[in-house]
Parts: sequence; structure tokens; C-alpha cells
Amino acid sequence: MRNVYHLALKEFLHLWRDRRTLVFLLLMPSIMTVLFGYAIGNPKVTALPTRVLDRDGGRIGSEYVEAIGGSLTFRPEVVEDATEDDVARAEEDLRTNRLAAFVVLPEGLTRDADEGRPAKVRVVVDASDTFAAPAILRELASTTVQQNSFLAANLRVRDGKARTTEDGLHQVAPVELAHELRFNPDLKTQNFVMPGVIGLILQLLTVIVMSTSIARERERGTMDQLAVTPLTPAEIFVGKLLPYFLISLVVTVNVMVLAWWLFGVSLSGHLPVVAALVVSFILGSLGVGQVISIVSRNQSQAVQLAVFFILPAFVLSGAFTPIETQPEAVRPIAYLFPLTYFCRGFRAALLRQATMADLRVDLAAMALFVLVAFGASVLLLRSRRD
Amino acid sequence: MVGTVLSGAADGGADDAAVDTSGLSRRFGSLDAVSGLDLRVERGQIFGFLGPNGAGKTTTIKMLCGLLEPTGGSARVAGCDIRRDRAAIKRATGYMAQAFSLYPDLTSEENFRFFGGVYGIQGREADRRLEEVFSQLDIEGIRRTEAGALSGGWKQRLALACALVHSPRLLFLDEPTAGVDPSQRQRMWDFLYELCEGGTSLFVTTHYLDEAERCHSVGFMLGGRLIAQGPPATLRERLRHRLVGAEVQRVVEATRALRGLTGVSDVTIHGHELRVLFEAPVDWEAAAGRLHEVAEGAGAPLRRVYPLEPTLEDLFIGYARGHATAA
Ligand SMILES: Nc1ncnc2c1ncn2[C@@H]1O[C@H](COP(=O)(O)OP(=O)(O)OP(=O)(O)O)[C@@H](O)[C@H]1O
Ligand SMILES: [Mg+2]
Repeated sequence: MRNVYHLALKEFLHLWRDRRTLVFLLLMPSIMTVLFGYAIGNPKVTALPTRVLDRDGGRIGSEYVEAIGGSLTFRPEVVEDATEDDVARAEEDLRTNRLAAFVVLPEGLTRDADEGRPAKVRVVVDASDTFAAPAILRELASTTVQQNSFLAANLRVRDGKARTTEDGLHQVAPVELAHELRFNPDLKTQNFVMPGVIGLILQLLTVIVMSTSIARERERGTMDQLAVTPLTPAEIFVGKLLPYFLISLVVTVNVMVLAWWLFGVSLSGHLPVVAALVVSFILGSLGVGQVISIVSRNQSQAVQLAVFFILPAFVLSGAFTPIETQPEAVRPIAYLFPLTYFCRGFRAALLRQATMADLRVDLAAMALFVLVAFGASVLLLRSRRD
Repeated sequence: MVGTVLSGAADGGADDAAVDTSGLSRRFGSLDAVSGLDLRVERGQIFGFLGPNGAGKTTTIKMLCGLLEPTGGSARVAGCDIRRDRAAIKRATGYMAQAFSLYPDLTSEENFRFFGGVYGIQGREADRRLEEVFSQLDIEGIRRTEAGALSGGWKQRLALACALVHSPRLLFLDEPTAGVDPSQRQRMWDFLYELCEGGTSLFVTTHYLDEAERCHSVGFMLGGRLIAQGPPATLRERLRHRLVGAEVQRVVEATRALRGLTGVSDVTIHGHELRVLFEAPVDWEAAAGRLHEVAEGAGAPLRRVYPLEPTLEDLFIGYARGHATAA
């Protein structure tokens, strides 16, 4: 047993020498606990951007507006005297992710309902977010039930008579909530989760694989041998990146086909948009991997740093749960990770057929990330050699 | 017969020196690893760079190769300034690191072709170069062996091959024969001579003084300073008439006694022979009397006293112990 003690003591000495690993071991769990706790401790769907198109202008319309306004689920905006154009605009805003849902209160809603005639309240929901869509429908359904009870009571006070069963039903529940699910009509969770999962896989692969590559050269002493050749820092950077870039592309195609084949995930986006998202995300992540690799003294340090980057990205990026479900406090951190933009953009591209213009913010953010990571890598490579 | 492998020297610079430094220095924190180095290595020579562990040899080579930024002074390598003409220096020089630094999971051939490719040597040219260098170094047999699986001598030969891939005019070899058996060392040196005859300048560090003797010129580093420089024979001459041999049975007692003698700088034991180094030239016959007397007094009578031919080793040890006077 004494030998074991000496071995253990030696390991402690290693840790003490490798301060970076020590700090990592001691600090990482606390940071993770805090992040995970905030990010997934309270997965409530709140403040979903929802537009109410009021074409009724009557009492029931106001009741809906009030109910929606009073619910934490929604962040409503109301359009009074809405026209057909407003409806079309809402459809477009739904597609570009500016709206999670919109509600159309039809003309004559109050009048028809008061008379006991069937009336339809339309709710159109972005079903690609399989967390938000059911919450929206639940809220509106309960509002509708409430309205119907009042209406039924009013009708009974008036005469309480009905000639046919159908009329009777209409009298009890005159308002029908007609929901339309857009982009993911079956509310299939895989359709929401898979683009995120593909992002996670790519993130893991690119950062880990890339982060060890230059650290390995340094560990083996081959970095000096490379540095005496005419290769410039930029050439070393590109040469190291290229193979992993190609492999990542193959992996992307591979997992997308699997997602489609096994889970029937919709892959009907515009090819250039999907390609732009994938390429910029992979390049950015590989760039991060290189930066990690260059600042690490050896491979194990590199892997630790990579995990330090990847884990928060996993939690905060909205890969599994929509980023809107996270508390305001941690949300800004999410925007430091390219995975956040990728998940959002990739989902939009695959499910809502988003165009380049729709995703310009996400694409620009990722492009900026690529530039920063590449620039930092080359500068670091240049300075580290001295 | 020297093949085209070795003809890397054709160039016509006005600057004659392969390496020329002035005040070259490098600090690590508070440590002066190299300080104020003024070194000149002529073109077409084998220059031996000597010094005990930590003397600053590797640090110097790394600065000359552009791997380490000097903290002071300047240097020209192959006629180019090390700060301004790095690209030119890289093309003109080859570097073999002290620690084995090839890719262990690639075969010998793959390693060689990779470094060739990096220097722009591809296709037929690479094939030709591979044949040449591998046959010159006699390593064709390990072409398909993974570099990590090679034994010491083969590893060093492969590393040398890779450092030669672009026919450099100047080659830096940091302890190329460390951990190599005597016969392989011999072959390595035969090859270094071939290279030199082909016009390549060589800058070699070594801890083997028999190797140092074979260099055209040597420099001796100690504590980051160059304390002697010149052809081995010239340096050895500094010890002429300062070295006296003594044969004795009880070497330890005799050594202790003789070290205490005034005028004696150092005594080293070689079997039953003591090599007594004096601080200044002496007449050995005159000194013999005193040596006999002191040894006898210590109970370790000398059998015989005689003059000795100085070797680089005597010089090296003298310097390393800080006794010999730097010129
Ligand atoms: N990167 C570094 N950081 C700090 N100190 C260093 C570094 N590299 C070398 N040194 C120190 O500089 C001094 C000179 O080292 P150098 O490796 O040049 O010696 P050397 O002559 O090559 O020795 P050896 O014969 O053992 O190879 C040593 O004291 C060493 O500890
Ligand atoms: Mg050294």
C-alpha cells in the first residue's frame, strides 16, 4: 500500500506543477454548476413574440387581446383593424423567426358568437420550435374555453333553445380555435432537436480534433522542425485546418443523411444557405480549436481547454432547448458561441426554408467569428515561435 | 566519390562566413543563457561547438535557425541577417534538433517526402533526392519503417537525411551522435566529411571530444560565453608544457595531495595515470622532484613522472572547472 501512496503523491505533484490543469479541475465544476443551473433549471417558455391581428374590434376580440397580454407566455403586439396585408406580413415574420405565432380574430367575431353562430379564431404557430408551439396552443385553448363558457351562459339566459344538435353545440361553444401548425405540422421533436444535435456533433468533433493537432506537434518537438522550414504561420494554419475541414464536411453530410433516414428529419432547406451555415460554422470552430491548440503546452491541456469551451456552448447555445427559454442573465453569454448562431440558423434553414437574407445576422456573426479565430491563430503562431 | 547530394554549396555571396555573430545574447528571465557571443564560422568547414550541459549551445543554434528571438546582438547566417532575412536563411540552412523530432507514426520515406514537399521538392525531383540521400546515408533498408520504431543510430541518420532534403549550404546539427554507438558514430562522421567536401558548412555540437578533434575549428562555450575559439591543434597548444603525467598505484591519495600543490591547476585520474595540469608552463623535469616529494609525503609514491601531449579533453575539463585561463 505504501507504493500506492507514493504514486498518488507523485500525481499530486504533477497537478501542482501543471497549474492550468489544477485550476481547470477546481474551477470547471463550479462554473458548470452555475451555468447548467441557470440555463436548464427553469425551462419555462415565456415572452414568445406573438402578434394579434384584430379584425373584429368587438368585445371578444378585446377579451383575447387582454388574455394574451396577461399571460407570461406571450410578448404580444396588437394590430388593430388588421387587413389581409397584415396577415400576409405576419406569415412572413413567422417564417423569418420574428414571430413565434400570430392570432387572427376574424371580422364579426363578437357579433357571430353572440348570435350563437360558429366563429373561428385562427392561430398560426411556428411548430419548428416544439417547445413553444404546444405552450402557445395550450394558453389560447384555455382562453377560448373560458370565452365559450361565458357565451354559452349568455345564450342560455336569452332563451336556452336549440332546434338541432349542431345548433346546440354552437350555442354551448360558439368560438372554435382553429390552429394551423407551420413548418413542422406533426410537431415532431426531432425536427427541432436534430439540427441542434448536428451542431453539437460538429462542435465536438472540430474543436477537440483541431485543438490537439498543434499541441501534438509541440509535444513531439516537431513544431520546431516545421518552424525552420519555409512554411509561414499562415501556411501552417491552413495546412493544419484543411484536412479536418474536409472530414467535418463529410461528417456533416453523413449525420444529416442519418437524421433524415432514421428520424425523417426535414432537410428541405436551400442548399447554398445550408452550405454557407455549415462551412462558416465548421471554419469558426476549427479556428477556435487552433487557438486552443496554440496556447496549450501539450495535448492534455488542449483537450481540457476544448472542453472548457464546448460544455458551456452545449448548455447555452439552444441546441436542445430554445435559447428563449433561458433566463436573461445567461443569454448574452450564449451569443459568444458560434454554435448559438448555427443552431438557430440551421433550424431556420432546414425547417423554414430561410434565405441568405433571413439569416444575414447569424451568418455575419459566424463569419466574424471565423475572422477573429483565424487572425488570432496566425498572430499567435507567429509570436509563439519566438 | 561525393555525389550530387552533397553539392549544396554553390553560391557567390560577398560574405565569406557561414555564421558571423556579434554580441548575440539571449536571456530567459534572469538567466543569461547566451551572452555577448562573437562567433565566426568559415564557410566550407566543420565547426565543433563545445561546452558542458547548459552552456548555451542549443540556445545559440535556435537563435541562428530563427527558432528563438535573440534578446541582444546580431548575427548573419549564410550571409543573411537573422532578423531580416529569415526566409532566405530557412532555404539555405538545415537543422537537426537535439531531441528526435520527426513524425514517429510516419515511415522514413514519408517523413523525408513530407519535409521535401515543404521545401517545394516534389515528384521526380523528390524521388531522385530520396534515392540519393537514402543511399548516401545507407538507410534504404528502413524506408518503410515507422520512424518511431527505429533505434538510436538509425533515427539520427534519418533525421540527418530529412535535414538534408533541400541541399542546405549550412547544416546545424545539435548533438547528432548522442546515444549512438561508436561504429555508427564513425559512419556519421564519415558522412559529415563527405558533406563538407561537397561544400556544405557544418555547425555541430557534441560532447565527444574525439569528435571535436576532427573539426576544422571549435568553439568552447561556458556559462553562456564563448571562452575559446580556434582549430583544435591551436587550442591544444595552450596546454603545451603545462601537462605532466605521473604513474601511481594509490591514485586517490596522490590526487588529493597533488591538487594541494601551489602552481597545480587540476589533476585528473586516468587509470593509474594522473594528468597534472599546471597553471603556467613548467619544465617537467624540474617539477618532477616536487611531485615525487609531495606524493611520497601522502603515502602514495609516484612510480614515474613524464611529459604529456595535451588533448582537447584536458582543455575542456580545465575550462569546465574554471581553472584554465581564457585567452
Ligand atoms: N525555454 C527556456 N526557458 C528557460 N530557460 C531555458 C530555456 N531554454 C534553455 N534554458 C536555459 O538556458 C541555459 C542554456 O541551455 P541550452 O539548452 O542552450 O544548453 P546546452 O548547451 O544546449 O546544454 P546541453 O549540452 O545539455 O544540450 C540552460 O541553463 C537552460 O536551462
Ligand atoms: Mg543542447
